[in-house]
Amino acid sequence: MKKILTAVLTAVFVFAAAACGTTTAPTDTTAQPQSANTPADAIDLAGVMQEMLGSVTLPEMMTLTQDDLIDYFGLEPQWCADSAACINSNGYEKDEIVLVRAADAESAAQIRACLETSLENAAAEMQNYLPQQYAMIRKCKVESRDLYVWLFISDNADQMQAILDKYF
Amino acid sequence: MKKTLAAVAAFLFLLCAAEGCMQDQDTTNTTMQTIGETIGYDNEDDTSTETESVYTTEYTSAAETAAETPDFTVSQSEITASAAQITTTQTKTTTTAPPAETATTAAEAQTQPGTTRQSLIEQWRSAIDQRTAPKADPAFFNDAVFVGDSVTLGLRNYTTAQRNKGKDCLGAAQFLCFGSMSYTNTIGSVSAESMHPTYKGKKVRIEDGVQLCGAKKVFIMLGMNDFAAYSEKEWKQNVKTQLDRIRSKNPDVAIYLESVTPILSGMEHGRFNNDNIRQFNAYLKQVCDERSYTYVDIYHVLSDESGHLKKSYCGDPGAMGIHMSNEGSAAWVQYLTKTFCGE
Repeated sequence: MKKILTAVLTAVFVFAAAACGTTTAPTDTTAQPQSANTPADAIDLAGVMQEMLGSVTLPEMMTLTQDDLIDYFGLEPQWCADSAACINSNGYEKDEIVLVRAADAESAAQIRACLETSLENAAAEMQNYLPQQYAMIRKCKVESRDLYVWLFISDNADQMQAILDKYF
Repeated sequence: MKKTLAAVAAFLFLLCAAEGCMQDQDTTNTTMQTIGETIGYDNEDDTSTETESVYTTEYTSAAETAAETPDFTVSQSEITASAAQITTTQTKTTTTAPPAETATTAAEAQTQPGTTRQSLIEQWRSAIDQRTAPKADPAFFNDAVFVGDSVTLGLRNYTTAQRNKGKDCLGAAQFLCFGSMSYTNTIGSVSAESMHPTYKGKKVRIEDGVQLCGAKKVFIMLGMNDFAAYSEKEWKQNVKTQLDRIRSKNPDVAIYLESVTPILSGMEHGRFNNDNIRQFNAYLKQVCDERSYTYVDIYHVLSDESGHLKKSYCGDPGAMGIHMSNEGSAAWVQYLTKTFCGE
């Protein structure tokens, strides 16, 4: 008799516990802090670009987000751990600042290749169009160091390079 | 004894089960309350308001119909003298009451047997989406691609800047641009030196780019680099050749030919003048009439009384006098939006 009673009560409590199990506390949807994935000594690319914009003579520039880089330069988002970029807003002149920290070495190579293609396209665009722009573009080149890849198209590209060099 | 034990067990069972359901209901109510507060509704007191105010708004423009109707054209006679706007007769914006299933409020659903908490949340979210959706419908441009030279590059930059500010600008339209591109110089093969638009950084032929974009509508503004650089016979032939290629590769795409935009007063030289632009545009209009494409008269949107580019719309008055300022780009976007989205 006791066995039957024990079995019945056990079944009741197990079942009740299962029913109560559906009333779990609401899931905490608060975003958890993401792993920064940023090396402690990573260069603040946005800060570098702001310094350039503040100290180098440039035409009116417009800032591009990392999402814009695929359309403008063919840079896949997963290649870029961090970036800062801006271009001449008028659309027909090619002043550009593109600073990227690649996700890895392979991505860095892809980014470099894309920026070199972009530079060649810019030259082709200007060759028979705006000779001064063409001459400027021809003096510029894509540079890289470790995971950093950058391209400055400007009459003042040397000044930009000097600013960036301070951060390495 | 056995009967007593069975009765006790049954009572305990019912008590626990009831408690579980009650707690589940309480959690649902708390969640609903939170969502309701998010949109400023009290889900206990204002459900009737919610029921009445959830609507599905549909916008249909004649231009959108044009994309699906081969015979649609916009004739020159329909362009008004004042703004020379394409008088695509906008189908009146219709606001319709939602079908019964979309009108069902979360509060009503809450009372329906078998409704889960998740489905209630989803219905609330749906209601929120409908409440907060912009009244204007930019969807027309979501499957559009703009093809053009440096003038359209300016539009692209303006659009990007607006979108990065969180503003809606030509929906999700894409761009295939390249400075100094023309109907003529895009006919050859792609090479390092060629003039072809870039898609994700790589040069492509226009027709291939349109296909890669998955576009259903293509807005083409080319010609600024044609009419002065080539003979009339050449550019006329090249316009048709280029359009044939786009059509052949993209048989289902709706083609919109945007007129070439005007030159600023004082910046015309030789054959590079507004008379020739108007002649070129007249040909584009003729092609649209012949092929049932849509002609989009941007020229008159951006020109002053004398037919030159309006000064405040010019972004390079000291250089070429053909590129747009932000104000000019804004006028261009506003016209497109008004014409094709009915805003």
